[in-house]
Amino acid sequence: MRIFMPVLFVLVVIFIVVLGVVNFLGMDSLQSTEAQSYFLKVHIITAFLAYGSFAFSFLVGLIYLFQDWQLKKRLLSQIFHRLPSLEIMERWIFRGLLFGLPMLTLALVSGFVWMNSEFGTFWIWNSKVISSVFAWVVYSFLFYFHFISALHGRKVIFLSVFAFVTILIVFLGMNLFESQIREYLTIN
Amino acid sequence: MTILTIGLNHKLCPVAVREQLAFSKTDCVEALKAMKENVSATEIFLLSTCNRVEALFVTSEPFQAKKDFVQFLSQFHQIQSDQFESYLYEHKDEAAVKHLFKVVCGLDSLVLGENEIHGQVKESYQWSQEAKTVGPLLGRLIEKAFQIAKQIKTETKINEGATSVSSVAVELAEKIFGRLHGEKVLVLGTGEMSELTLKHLMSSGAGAVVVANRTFEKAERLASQFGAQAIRFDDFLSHLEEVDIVISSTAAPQPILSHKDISEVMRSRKQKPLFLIDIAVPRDIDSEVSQVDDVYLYNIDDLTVVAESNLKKRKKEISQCEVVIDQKVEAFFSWLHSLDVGPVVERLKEYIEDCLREEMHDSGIDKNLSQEELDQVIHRLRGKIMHAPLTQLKKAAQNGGAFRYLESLEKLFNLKKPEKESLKDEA
Repeated sequence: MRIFMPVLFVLVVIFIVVLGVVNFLGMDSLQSTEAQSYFLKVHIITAFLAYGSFAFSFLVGLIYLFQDWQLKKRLLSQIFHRLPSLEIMERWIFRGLLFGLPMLTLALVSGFVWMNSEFGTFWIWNSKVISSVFAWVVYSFLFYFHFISALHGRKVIFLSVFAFVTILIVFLGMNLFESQIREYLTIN
Repeated sequence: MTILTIGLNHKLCPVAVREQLAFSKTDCVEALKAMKENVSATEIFLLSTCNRVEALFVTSEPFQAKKDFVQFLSQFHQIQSDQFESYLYEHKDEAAVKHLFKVVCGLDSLVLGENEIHGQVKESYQWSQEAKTVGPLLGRLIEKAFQIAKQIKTETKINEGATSVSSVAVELAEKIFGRLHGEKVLVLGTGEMSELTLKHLMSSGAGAVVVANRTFEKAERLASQFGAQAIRFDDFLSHLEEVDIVISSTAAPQPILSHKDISEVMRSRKQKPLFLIDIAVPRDIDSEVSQVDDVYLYNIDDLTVVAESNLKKRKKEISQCEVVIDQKVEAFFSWLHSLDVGPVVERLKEYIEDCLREEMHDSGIDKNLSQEELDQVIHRLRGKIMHAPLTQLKKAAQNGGAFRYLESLEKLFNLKKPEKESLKDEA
């Protein structure tokens, strides 16, 4: 049971990183000048490491909320005996965050540097950029709540689950919005 | 040769008799050594716990062994045999082996499926090895029992879920805080139930304890027992901030902890989870408290419901356990029967005779002898070669330990055993 959390963490992160790398392997920009592709590579790897560990925290957060609900309702089902304790889950949720936040910071910095060398600007209004910055702000707040003001329990964890869902919605929503705009522009 | 179990347990025998017959840890090895002298059995295993006293024998005279054992018990514990003889149960061979397997798996325990018995049997096994009363047969049988217990624990749910109020409390605490490591406990009100729960929590790893009671002296008494700190009852609210688990069992007619109290406490705890165990009747903690985030409130009924439902789940597993045990008993006896001395000795005789005949033929010695003379020589030679090993085998067979020799013989001389090979693997 003790190795359950670390193993889950590694699996989720590896899964997300592999998913990301496979997706980006064929990208043209990766074949551009060396300095540029270096930043892009760092950006892609760190971004997926970050989102991998956020996805892990999200997953464990869901299990935490489920277990909290079971304990509150006194419904101790079969699966209850197989789940890790609340304290251990909380610890790992924030470990995920502790690893994810620096990775996301690195991803943002390397991303901005790459954009500047590729497009000559540090900022583009793009779904990925906006949702990444948004994620950084939200997770920084969570980091502050837990590690600086030492807040525990259901609400902070609910917030971390909620944050991940919001980031996903922002990313997907913006993506949809952008593709519609592109469609509109090509039609006209 | 018979495998024989004689003993008494919590099901039939009252505690007043059981406690007189129990062997203390320090007695066990001595008792075994004495039994070796006085009971007519070649192998002996003795198990003595608070719920059972029983012995397992390998003997060729089961009737005598029982008589000897009863006499030994009566002498060792200075108790008349008619006081306990009627409570004794007796199992032979298949039934004895099945009984042992059930005992080790916790199916015969007071708390169904409990783990403790496994350790107790292990300890007893070590003592009987120390006293050199366990030989190859019981050794193999007991090792087998451990394997089965392990298998049953992983394949069924017989060991899952706590089945007493205090162990449910510990299980829940562990679901909240993980393996307990120094979690602080506050005890409100002193009583047998809260003491038991506290004891259970502490033995599972809970740490510092604070005790509060209306009568301060009582709090002090309980506190000194557990190396805890006694506080005035009116001060307990200020301690709620720093403890993780509260056991409440005061005689207060009204709740002593309200929703408001706990909400405030949780704010100053920064929502660090709090586990409240209310075993008082009438209840000490307002049921609305459970609506506060990160507070887990369980009263005596909640705990009882969990314990009972866990026990029910365990009971459902019994039949599945018995299927496994029955299979294993059968496999054990197939293995045992496959070890009859006769066939192996026959095959060894054939082997030696073939060798002799072949050599005599090849070297031409047989030409100088008549058929009758040749047979005689071969017979004598074979007898000479086999005399020493056969004597040893016979001796071992009387002690029920021939199978080790048989296995070696089969391997060394490549004496094929056509159909029973598969059974042996299963055992």
